[in-house]
Amino acid sequence: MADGLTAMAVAVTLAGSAIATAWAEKAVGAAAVGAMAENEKLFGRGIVFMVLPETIVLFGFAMAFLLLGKVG
Amino acid sequence: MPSSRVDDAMRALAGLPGVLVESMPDDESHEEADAPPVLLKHKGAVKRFEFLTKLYSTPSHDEVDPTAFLFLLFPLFFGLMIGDAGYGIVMIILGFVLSSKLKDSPDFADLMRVILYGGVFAYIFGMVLYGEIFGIPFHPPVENPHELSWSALLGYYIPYEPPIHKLEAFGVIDLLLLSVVASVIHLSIGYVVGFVNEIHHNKKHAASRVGWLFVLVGLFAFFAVLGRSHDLAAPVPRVVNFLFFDRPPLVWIPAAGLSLGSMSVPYFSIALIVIGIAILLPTEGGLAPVETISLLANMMSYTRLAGVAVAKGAVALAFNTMLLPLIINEDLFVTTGAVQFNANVAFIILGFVLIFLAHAMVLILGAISASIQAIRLNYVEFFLKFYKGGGTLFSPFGARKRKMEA
Repeated sequence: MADGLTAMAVAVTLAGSAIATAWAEKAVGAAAVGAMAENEKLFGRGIVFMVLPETIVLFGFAMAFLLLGKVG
Repeated sequence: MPSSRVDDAMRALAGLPGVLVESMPDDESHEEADAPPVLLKHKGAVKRFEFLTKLYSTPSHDEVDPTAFLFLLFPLFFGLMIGDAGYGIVMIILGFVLSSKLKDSPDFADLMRVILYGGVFAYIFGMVLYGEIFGIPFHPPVENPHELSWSALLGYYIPYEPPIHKLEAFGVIDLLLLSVVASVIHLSIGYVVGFVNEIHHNKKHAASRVGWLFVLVGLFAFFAVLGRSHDLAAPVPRVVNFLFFDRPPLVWIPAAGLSLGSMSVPYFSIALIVIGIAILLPTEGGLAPVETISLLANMMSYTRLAGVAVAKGAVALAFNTMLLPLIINEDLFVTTGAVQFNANVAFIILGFVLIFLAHAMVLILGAISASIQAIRLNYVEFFLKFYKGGGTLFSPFGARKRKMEA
């Protein structure tokens, strides 16, 4: 029972942080493409800004992994 | 005119008849409005990394140019994230061929050269640290002894046990702790360079860098005590313990600490963080204690090194386990470890084509994500500690190329 719940917690942690990242990247990515249409030189900077929210899913990954250690 | 060439020019002018050379006014106090333009002078390999600095911002005339740090750190992070000898070799070859073929688009050629250097590190880490070629490890993980490995495929036990297995839980914890060490080294360099940049401008800002350094080391001491082996006679067989946590000076940190729930925070780190905040309060203002949390977030951000490495290894392994049954008899392989080729030759050919395509995809996506993540660590975590940029690039009115007669 406890193992099952922990495994569920792992899944929720990873899924939640991944959805959050996707949500944030959606907004940044759309803005970056808009800026690139104005000035193509902004491609490099745009792609860097776009991956900034990936930090969120990384926190999720680290936490999920620490939780996974408690399963079984 | 570049300042290093002023003397030459003066001498050449003085040699001309009828020209009187006065000494140039040599004042150091430039106004903000007419900051002199910057000429970046790098030789050889470092020059290839200049475009990464310029992508962020051109350095201003009075700060340290970070290109040399990028040259040292970008390929290292990139290699840690790719961490596969097979992909490393392909990147070295592709980078070399493309960077020497594409003379007419210099930016892309530079990028390919940067990938080449990254590939060298990917090869070294793939061979020595992870023991992995094209997503297939040297040995199966302890959790799944029947999983795909080179030792089973070749029918020959590779006599080298790589210290980190990406697909073992134990190896991933090791990688996560190694990323914390990487964060401390990287951020400390940032604060030291920030101190050097600011010492001539604003003593208060320079002092704040020292405060941050105290907080950083204090936070790190917590991780070092948490991760160290409890019994040094029988140390935890982790790379990070062997290289850092179980060695002086980290092993000297007294473990005694304040217990918070199941964790114990060493008095040593509490003391360092308090000293750091005491320096930060007068230099950075009242919000400094809140900002220390963001430093912790900065450190956690380096777990992307472990995250990308494991995710990429897992994707490559997924493709291998899906497509290899086309080539060999999987049931026989899983039960006995014997390699028996599929009877149908068409399936074998199809299998090889699909595996090639799958790995090409993993390679390209991996190279893109690893390079973006590696440059992000440098831009967001590292540059913000010391680098402002906003300089203007020196562009001469014109230079004539001297023609050489053969």
